[in-house]
Amino acid sequence: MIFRCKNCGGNVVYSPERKKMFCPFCESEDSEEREDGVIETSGEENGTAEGTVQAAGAGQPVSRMAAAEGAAQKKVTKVCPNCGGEIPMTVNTSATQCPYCDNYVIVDDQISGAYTPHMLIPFHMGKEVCKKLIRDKFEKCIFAPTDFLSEVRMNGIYGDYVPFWFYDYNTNCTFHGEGTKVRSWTTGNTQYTETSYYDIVRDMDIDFVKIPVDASVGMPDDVMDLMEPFDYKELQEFKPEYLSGFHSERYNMTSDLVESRAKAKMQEDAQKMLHDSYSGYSSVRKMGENINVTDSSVSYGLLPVWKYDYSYKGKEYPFYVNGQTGKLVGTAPISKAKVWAYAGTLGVTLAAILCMVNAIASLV
Amino acid sequence: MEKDIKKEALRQYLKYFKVWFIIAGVLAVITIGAAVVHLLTPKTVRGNSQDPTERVFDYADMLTDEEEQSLREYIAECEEKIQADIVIVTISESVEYDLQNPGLAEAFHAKEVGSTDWSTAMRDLADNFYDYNNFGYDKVHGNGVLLLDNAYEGQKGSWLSTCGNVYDYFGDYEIDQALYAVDDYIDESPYKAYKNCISYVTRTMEESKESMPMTFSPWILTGLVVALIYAAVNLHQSKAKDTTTVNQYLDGKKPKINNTRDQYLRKNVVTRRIETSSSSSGHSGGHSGGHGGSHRSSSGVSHGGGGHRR
Repeated sequence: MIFRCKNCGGNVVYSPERKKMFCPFCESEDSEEREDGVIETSGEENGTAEGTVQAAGAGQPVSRMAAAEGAAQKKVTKVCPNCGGEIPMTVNTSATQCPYCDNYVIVDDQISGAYTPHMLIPFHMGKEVCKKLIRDKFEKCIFAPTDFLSEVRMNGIYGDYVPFWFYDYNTNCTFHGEGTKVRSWTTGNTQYTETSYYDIVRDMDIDFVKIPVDASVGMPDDVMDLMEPFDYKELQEFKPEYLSGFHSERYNMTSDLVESRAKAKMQEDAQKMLHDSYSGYSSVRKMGENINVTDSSVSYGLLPVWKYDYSYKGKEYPFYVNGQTGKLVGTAPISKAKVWAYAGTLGVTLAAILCMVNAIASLV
Repeated sequence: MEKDIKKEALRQYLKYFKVWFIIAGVLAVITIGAAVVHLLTPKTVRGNSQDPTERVFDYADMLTDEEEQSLREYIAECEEKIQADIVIVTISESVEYDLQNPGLAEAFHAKEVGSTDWSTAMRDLADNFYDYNNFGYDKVHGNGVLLLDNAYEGQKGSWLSTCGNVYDYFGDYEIDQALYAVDDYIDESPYKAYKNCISYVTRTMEESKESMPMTFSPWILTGLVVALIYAAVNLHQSKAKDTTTVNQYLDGKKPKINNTRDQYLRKNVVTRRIETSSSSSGHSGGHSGGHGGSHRSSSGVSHGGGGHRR
């Protein structure tokens, strides 16, 4: 589908600054008209479920992940409902931009049925704010390649709604252990050290809500973990309008496949909270610890991430910016030529200045 | 496009090092100017006219008139090379244990000379002679070196007193070498011995001037070290950190506590006697050196020096 402007027929996109639909051509607000043009797949037809990695049936997790890599990258071309051009995309793409007419198209069957997201956080910051964040962060990085922060390169930044699974867990956590408290004092010439022993019992209900785990093969797990936290207060019910102006993909790993990551996060936090509850002791000997999940549920949603793909000397340097909070993940490439030139110049100039000061002092 | 990037890179580079290049440029101009001025101006002419023209004070009659004349000419030649006065003084006096030797005091214009210590006595004599006669090449009490040789039986030996530029360049080692130069020939011919000493002083002073460019190496090293630190600091990039809290995904941000029990079981007490350590203090023995080192003479002029007793 495409969102067209009632007033001028231009492509209407969601504007994070205005928090409204906006036509960049005639500057109308909320003038969108949905056009459900069917997007035909050109070339060989693939089943929609093909790109999704499922836990059931497949063998080892490692081979499943490898299979997922291949499947998610599987390229297809679809016809643009606006200009008829062939848009290259993967089998999982649900929203993208037509390279010919620059219109943002949304692939209907990737956001319907089982692939309908339950919720999403709309982009909070626009592209210009994102560019400024990247510039501010890497301005001082003088060894980065010259065009790293150039307008031309930075215009390639795009917003991406990343598919996430959100896990809810109700847990009962118990702990049993023996703790010691040590007290020491001195009377006259004698030092006393008193060790008291306590029996520690803790029992608490910890309810976790929406632990996010990305459901995209293409997104690196560690980076997506660093994107957190997102502010769930801005969670909205899913509407296709939000996708206009951005890229997106449907989930391509099923919830049971990635649940182990959510469980690990849950367990780590629960253990920390148990640990904090007996922090007053000098030492604690653990005798029993149990984290018991009493109830769980999972939901599907999209989270906003800005992406800047910079390639330098054949290597990719991806930068990710949380589209809601502005948190930035990524390291700038280093130009070796610049390191040599700048450090060399500094060293030589400094040495020359010192030598000349020395020479002047001895001559005068 | 590629050309534009190179142009932009050069522009950024020049902008970044603008201040550095300006400072270096200004200094280069000053250095060249100073070098030209230095080359054009003749060597420092004598800046002191208050010292006597005599350089050889042969009170002990160790030298023939011809030898004295020859030494005077040699000294005049060397003085210009090293920009420092060179003075030879010979005596044959008991300086030790003889606290009231009026003749010596008069000769050296000192209120009180002699000491129970040979070194101190020789030092004071040499320094006072230099100061009273206003020696110094560039100014009164300026650059210069004085060799005092005592031929008194049982108190033979020589003392070298340094001042100004000679004081700056001569450490204990150089002073020792200059005195050895005397020791080597004094029995054969005092003339040869003094000339040898003057020759050593002149040579060493000239070498120290030539080795001046060597002082550039620490600055080059400093530049290298700073460049390395600079590169290391700028290569460092702060990585994104985990900013989630423990209760990030908690319903109500707090766990619901069902049961908390901290039951006291038992205790044990360990006692330990504290050893009181008795303090002890040691005295380090005094140390006396044979060198004069750096000191101020009674008239307040800084001298260096050292002596060899034969």
